Amino acid sequence: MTTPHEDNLEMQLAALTKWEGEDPQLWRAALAGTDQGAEKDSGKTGVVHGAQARRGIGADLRRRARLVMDRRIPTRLVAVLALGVIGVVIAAVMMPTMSARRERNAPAVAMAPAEAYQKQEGRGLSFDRSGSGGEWARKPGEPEILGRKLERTQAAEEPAPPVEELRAEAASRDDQMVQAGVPMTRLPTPATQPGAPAASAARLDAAAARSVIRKATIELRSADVRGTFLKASNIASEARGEYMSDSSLTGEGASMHATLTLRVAAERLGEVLNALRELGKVEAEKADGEDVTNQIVDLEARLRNEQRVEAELLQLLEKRGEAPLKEILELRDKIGEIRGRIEQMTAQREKLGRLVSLATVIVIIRAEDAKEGAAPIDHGLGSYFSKELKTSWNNGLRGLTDTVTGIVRVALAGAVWWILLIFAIAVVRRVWKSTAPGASPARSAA
Amino acid sequence: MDKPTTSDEDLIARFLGGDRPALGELAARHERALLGLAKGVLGGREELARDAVQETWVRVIRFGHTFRAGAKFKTWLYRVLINQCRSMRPPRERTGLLDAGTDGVDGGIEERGEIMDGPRRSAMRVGGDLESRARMDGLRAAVERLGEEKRDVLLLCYHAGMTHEMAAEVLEIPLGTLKSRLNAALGELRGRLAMEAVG
Repeated sequence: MTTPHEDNLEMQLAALTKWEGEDPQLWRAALAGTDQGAEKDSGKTGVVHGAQARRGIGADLRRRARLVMDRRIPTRLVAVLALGVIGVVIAAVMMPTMSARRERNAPAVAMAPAEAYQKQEGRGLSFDRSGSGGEWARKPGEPEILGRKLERTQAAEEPAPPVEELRAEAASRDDQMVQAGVPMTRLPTPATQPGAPAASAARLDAAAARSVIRKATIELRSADVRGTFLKASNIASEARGEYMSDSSLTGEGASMHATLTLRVAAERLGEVLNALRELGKVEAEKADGEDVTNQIVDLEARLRNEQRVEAELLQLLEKRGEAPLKEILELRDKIGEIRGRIEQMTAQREKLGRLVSLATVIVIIRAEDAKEGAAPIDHGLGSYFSKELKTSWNNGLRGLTDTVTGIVRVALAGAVWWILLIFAIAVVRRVWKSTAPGASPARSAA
Repeated sequence: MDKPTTSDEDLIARFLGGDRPALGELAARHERALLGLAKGVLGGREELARDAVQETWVRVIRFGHTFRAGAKFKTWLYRVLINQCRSMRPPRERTGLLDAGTDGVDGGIEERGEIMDGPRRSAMRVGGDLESRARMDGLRAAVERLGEEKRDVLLLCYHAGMTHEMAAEVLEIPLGTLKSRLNAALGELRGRLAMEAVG
């Protein structure tokens, strides 16, 4: 083969696009095909018929199948479709997994009592038996280990942990203290030697009857501050050991202001608050509580230990009555130290008991017209404008927040559906472009 | 050739208005040219070229109403044909990347049994047009290897009655782009032909 001359090359290129055969009058076939297709309401079918008229059904079908297989669009569509299916499958697989995880993480409402106690009590604490004396020691963390150990304890029907015993002993000493006139909050005491079910019930009781120091603050407005102050001070029942620990009444007229601190029985807190609410218009109310159960239990354990040491030293003192005076004096000094610590801890225990048994209620009473006197309501145009401006601004911010939240929610929650929608739109666009002639030379299809 | 008194745009408007012979008149003006261009773009496969042209007419019939008044009908018609031809070409032929070891496009076309003889078969023939026929087949194979963009530009620009401006409109590319592609295509084609002549 030789390289064509420049002129020859141009001529040959022109010859490549020159039709030398007969005139096939294809427009007639096309027109006939579309006529037939119009009758069948399908233009493409008509084209097939036109081609079939020339080449037969088999060849035309083979050609069309080859064209479909060769086209890029179906390949891309199949790829997108496959991705969509994979996405849906992944979502379908993930959703049950996430649901199951949510169920696992959700609080077990219908959980067995022992398990409920483990969840409630064991969070952040664990119990482990260490040493030969069978002492139980608290360790931080490992809630699951706690659960397993408690289950094993129940299965083996071992006696309850010493903490329960301590509580029982503390309760018995509480009885003695109450009999002596000291107000105490009784810790739960197992009625019987705890077996597995009894231990679970006792733990649940202990969880339910925790030692909580309760405080409440209530702010009242009253036309008669002094009268309300007197009524509030009379709410405390001295017969129940309740009292008013602090009070003040200051100012005159609209600026009169009273403050009371009441110590009322914890179980009467709700009743007292209700009574206070009836004395005036409630402006503000707040209540909180501090759980001191662990402090009490620890204090009692240390107290019990000191008492045991004291008893041992006393026994030793009795047995060694003939010992040298120096040793006896040293022993007495030791016993004295221990008794000092015991008294200190007993005082702490009593204080905690009082705090638990008596809730603190702080009552603030203001004059009803104090507000008008202190800050008169401004009915002016400026006030109205600033108020409306503030309201509009807040509403605008709230609306913006709602809009953003809504968009994020729709975008995230409907991600799968958006993907499917985009895929559907892409398919429709492809089909539309493939049926529109001459729209884009690169993408138009047959 | 006398210039037709009625323009293509008028004819298509008449056809869309129900004058069916107007389509025949349009076909008389353009069908052979369309067939030639389709044959060139489709690698010399006449049967495919017939299909492409027939479907082009079908599209003119079905979508003639989308033809914008004021545009050139011939440009629109050729654009439809080019799109049709492109959609009918297998993807590997669009890119110009043919299998190594084959005899260019002829090898692939021979497998389909739809094309005139290839160079090797031509060489075995005895006759006066043997050399020119082999040369044309070699040229066609070299054009096929150019890739879709260059190939279409080359064939359109050297197609009878087609100006560069019209070719640019058909391909929907700027005139400058068309010319640069044409130069690149010609350069590459000459290089290929020279290589084949040496080899």
